[in-house]
Amino acid sequence: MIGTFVRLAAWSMKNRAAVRLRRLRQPRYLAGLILGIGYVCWTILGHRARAPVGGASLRPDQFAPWAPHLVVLLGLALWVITMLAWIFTSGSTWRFTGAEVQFLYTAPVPRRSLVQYKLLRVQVGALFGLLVAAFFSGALFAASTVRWSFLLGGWLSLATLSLHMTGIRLAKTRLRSPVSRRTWQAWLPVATMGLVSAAVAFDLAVRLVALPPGSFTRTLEPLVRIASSGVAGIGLWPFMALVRPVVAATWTELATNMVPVGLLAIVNYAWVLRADSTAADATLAGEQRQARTGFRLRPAVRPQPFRLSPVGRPEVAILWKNLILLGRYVSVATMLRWLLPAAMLALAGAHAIGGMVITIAALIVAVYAVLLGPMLMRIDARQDLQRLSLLKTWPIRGSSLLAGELSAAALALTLVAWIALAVAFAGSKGIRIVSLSLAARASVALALAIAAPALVLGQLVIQNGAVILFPGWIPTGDARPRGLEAMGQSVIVLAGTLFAFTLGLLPAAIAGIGLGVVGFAVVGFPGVPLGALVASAVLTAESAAAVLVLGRLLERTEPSQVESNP
Amino acid sequence: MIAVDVLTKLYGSLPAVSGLSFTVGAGEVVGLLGRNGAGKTTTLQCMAGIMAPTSGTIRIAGHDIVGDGVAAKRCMAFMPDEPQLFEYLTVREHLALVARLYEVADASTRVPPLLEELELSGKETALPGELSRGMKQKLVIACGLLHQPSVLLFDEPLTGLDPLGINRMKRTIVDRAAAGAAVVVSSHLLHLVEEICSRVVIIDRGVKVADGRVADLASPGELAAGTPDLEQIFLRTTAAAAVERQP
Repeated sequence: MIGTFVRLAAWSMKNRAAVRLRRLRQPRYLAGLILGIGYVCWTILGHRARAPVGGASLRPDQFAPWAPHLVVLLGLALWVITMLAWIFTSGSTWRFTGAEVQFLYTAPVPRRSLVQYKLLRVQVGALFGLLVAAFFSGALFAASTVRWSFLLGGWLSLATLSLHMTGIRLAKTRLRSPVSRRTWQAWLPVATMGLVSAAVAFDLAVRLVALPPGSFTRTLEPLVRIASSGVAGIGLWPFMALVRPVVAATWTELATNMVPVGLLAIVNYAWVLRADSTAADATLAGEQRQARTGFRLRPAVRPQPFRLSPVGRPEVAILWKNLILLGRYVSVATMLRWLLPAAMLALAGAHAIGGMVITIAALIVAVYAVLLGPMLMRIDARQDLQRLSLLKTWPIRGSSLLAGELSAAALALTLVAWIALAVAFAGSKGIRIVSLSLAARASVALALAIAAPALVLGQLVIQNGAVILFPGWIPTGDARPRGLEAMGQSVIVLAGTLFAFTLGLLPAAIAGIGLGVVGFAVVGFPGVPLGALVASAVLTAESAAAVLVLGRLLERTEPSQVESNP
Repeated sequence: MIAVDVLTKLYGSLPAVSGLSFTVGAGEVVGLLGRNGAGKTTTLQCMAGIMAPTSGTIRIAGHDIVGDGVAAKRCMAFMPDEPQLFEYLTVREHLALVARLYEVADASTRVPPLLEELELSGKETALPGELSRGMKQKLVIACGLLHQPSVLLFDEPLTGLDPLGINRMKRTIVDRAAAGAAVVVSSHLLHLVEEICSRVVIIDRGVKVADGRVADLASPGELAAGTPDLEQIFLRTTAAAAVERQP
């Protein structure tokens, strides 16, 4: 049966490659491919240039001193990720496509074979991802031990981790079933993991608190010592074992470190197969009960961001709709998932070296929200253009539609930036690098806070403008096209949007910096926000004008022009 | 109410619709018929303002769909064959969004009977992923009917509906027309068209080949044989068009 699945995967790959070759007849894909190949060659040349003559760019002796630290830190990270997976993971375990359900579910194929097929697909994907990571990180061009440690060790570790995550999902599926959750077997994995993690956390906390303040200023040695000994050392052993093959410096070390990971993989594989059969029974039992009582398992529908009145500006309706979409991703659970480790790290940092960590981290968040956020948060026309045939039936102007589309992401990113700036300002008194008065720091923070929304909006306009002006070049929705040509296209689009943003920023920067300098000369730091205000006003006016023009273009865009992500 | 005048739509150099003209008056239900790829969906999408005509004009309730699109769309609803929904909005939220976009001030009083009519009561908090194909279709129709449009465009309205749903849908279309709406129904189900449409427009390869009441389009032979049969009319007119196209 596995042979059939391998053939299925091979046919799909062959046909996908043929489709990609055929689409090279279109200039945009050909240009993308040429640029993609150029980018790959440039990356290879870069690695070769950094390498000594006749040697590799990365050798085991370069990072060997760091290996024990890496093992502990990455092991701790894996432990945290696994704990969070136990707490927050939801949704279905196996994601079958419509065609897979249509053909494989209805075929006389044992369920175990379907599970093995899915596991195999995941491993192939992981290997490919690892190869790409090895290429761009330079591990592929490193000394042979580093290269094979990264590839072989990394693959085995990733495979084991993905098996474990699958096991967690299955165990949680079983716990969601009203019938199965009554059995003690369903609670055994979560109870074991809970007890072990509690013991590890308690041991770590007790021994870390006992350390004198400032212990981590120069070295992480105390953390390495604590995490790899005592109860914590025992509990964290599987997670650190997963990291060891990746950082092995010799062939013997690699082989030795792969043995325990291989054993862990076998244990997890057996757990997944066993858990799947019980979860399948549980699902069946749940469905039978549902048929009898009307009980229905369903995803949670989160409350609306605000009550939408039936009359008013259409932009508000689009904002409301997109805020609901945002709520799907930024739920309380998601916030906790990211904020909890961040808060733990910040507190640990603050304990060790004062408020500087918090300030720097907050500033990084603010810069990330303002500069990268608009590129990554696609809750706007980039998401909705795939439903253009629906949007175009609405009785609203293109500019109103676009303004509404932009507002949710602009609002969310501005809020993140403002909170981060407020935290950075609050923590900035601990920084002694530049001694600024409270008023001066407040002025700088205020200026940044004034500039943030305009910068976010400007970038969002550029990103959405790109997809409206060149609908065939930029993917819409959640799909991401793959391949060298897609990478080349992304590079072209990135360069284009950066150029457009720089161009748009120039008038605002000239006006803002000019007035800011004058203000600074006259009244000192309190003059800086004035410059930011003028720059923001200019940039916002430019954005508004661009929205009007792009709205017109959006009205003329047809669904067939939008990238269908083949 | 609807006036399509010499509509032409080209995809690149390929003509999907060529010089198509027809009108639909208030209270009229017109069936738009044609083989696969005849240009029915393209025509409806041009009428709905999704695509711009390459040439020609479309007027909806007196408003040009290109020049005055917002006003034209305000009094129109388009129900596509494939339901397009936001996967993260519930049934109720879809209706709230549409109410705001079309400024339906009394939406709260209109929604319950509409949901009742379309058998969506009790599904208000369901996400599209939890609805069957037929239910999704009904939600699209509920969204379309909420603002009580005077022009209704249906593309294969019965796809995915159960027999009861089909029966209700037919009644809904006829009732809306009786209330004064102009309705265009594109469908391959000729018995449906024959049952609910007051007139049919048959197109073949983007060109209109017949326009009129079923009785008027029947040949003397078909009339002599008894009840005029739309299937026979459709087959005859499209075959004749194919013969005419041959060099």
